[in-house]
Amino acid sequence: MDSGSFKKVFDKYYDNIRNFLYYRSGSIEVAEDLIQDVFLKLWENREKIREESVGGYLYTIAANLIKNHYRRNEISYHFLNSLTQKHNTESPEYLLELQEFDRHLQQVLAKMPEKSRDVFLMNRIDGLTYADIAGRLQLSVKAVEKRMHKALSFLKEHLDIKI
Amino acid sequence: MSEQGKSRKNKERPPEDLSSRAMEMAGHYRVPAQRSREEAWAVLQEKIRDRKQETHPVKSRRLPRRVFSVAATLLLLVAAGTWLLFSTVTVTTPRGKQTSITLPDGSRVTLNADSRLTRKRFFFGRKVRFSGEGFFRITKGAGFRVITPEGTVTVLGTAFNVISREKTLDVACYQGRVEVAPAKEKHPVILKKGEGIKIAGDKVNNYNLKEEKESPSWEQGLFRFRDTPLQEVLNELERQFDIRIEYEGTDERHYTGSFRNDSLEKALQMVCIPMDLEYIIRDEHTVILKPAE
Repeated sequence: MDSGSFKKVFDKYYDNIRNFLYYRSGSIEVAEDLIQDVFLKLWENREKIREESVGGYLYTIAANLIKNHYRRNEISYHFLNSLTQKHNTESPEYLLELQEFDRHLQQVLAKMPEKSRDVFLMNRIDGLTYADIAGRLQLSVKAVEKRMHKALSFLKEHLDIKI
Repeated sequence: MSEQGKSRKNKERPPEDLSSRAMEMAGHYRVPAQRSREEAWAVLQEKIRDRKQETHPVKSRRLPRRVFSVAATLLLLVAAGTWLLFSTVTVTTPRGKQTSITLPDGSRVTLNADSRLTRKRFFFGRKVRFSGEGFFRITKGAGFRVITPEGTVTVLGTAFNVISREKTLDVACYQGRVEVAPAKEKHPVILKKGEGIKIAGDKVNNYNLKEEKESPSWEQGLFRFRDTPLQEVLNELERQFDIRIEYEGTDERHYTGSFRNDSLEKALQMVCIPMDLEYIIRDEHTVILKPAE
């Protein structure tokens, strides 16, 4: 990979890798900080990496960096939600209910095991297909499906409980 | 399955709906990013540049005997290094004045009244912080960035006008290409020669420059307005002549016209006559405007 394609790779993967780091840490500062190290590593090794496998490479570096450099306490999410920001036609009760559900969902997501949560969020927020996710996380598509099912079961079980 | 999971408090829906509801809601989630991709790219470029200058670490050896003086020297070096890294230079224009500055890379900026430009003293990095209005003529080379509270403008050897005032960012491209990355949005916008964009909170207006011009007319002291809210015109009058305008009237109207900044009386006439206003110059720094009788 040459310097010209480096920018293309950056443009293609930056948002998703930053999101991935956020999913794993719950901190946007950590995510935006560590992602610099991810791409620095890519830059230093750019001659050795083939463009086809760069996605898997980036996610692997990201996962390693998070594991080593970030002591995981309890994480909590602060996703922005365009649904709860629309305060026009909906009744206040409906909006309140949406916000309740949103809050609850983000809490449950924070408790979900990493393996299934990665897949769930990469699919719903990054909009990646199972095939994309499989390539980036170095899994089979079947394995991705299984993790997605696990995520949905986890959600069913935990969302039903009112806190 | 836990016992709690089996009870359905207040929900008529079967469990399947909850997970699909969750799927649906999560689809609307966005990560609360604080930095745009272009800003991150700029930061990365600096780190790469810094890496290239890094020397190899020295092999560790036994500590010298005079540890305290070494520590003191180190502290001084760190302090000096920090000052070197972060020391900035700022140019400010007051009301009633314009000024022109040249940057270390040869780029030139003309500042309109009441504007401010800041750069790092020693590590210029082709990056400035800016607020107010300025016309930028940038020399060719790797990305030059103008950072304003409302967004970052990135360019490559070009000329453009930036207005960053009152939570508004207005960029017009006069030469080459300009990239505007609003602070709040995901997607940067690219402007070509003759195109402009005005971002005020959630409102975004794309516009075209009316004539083939090389630079905005305010550099020659001429201020033109087209369908501009009257209050903005009055604000520019205040800036150009360093006065305060007390306006007794409604602010809703729009003004199309121009004034020069060489004579206050003439400028006031240019604005007041078409708008049916009267002006009273109370003293050197105060003007009162009200609807004509």
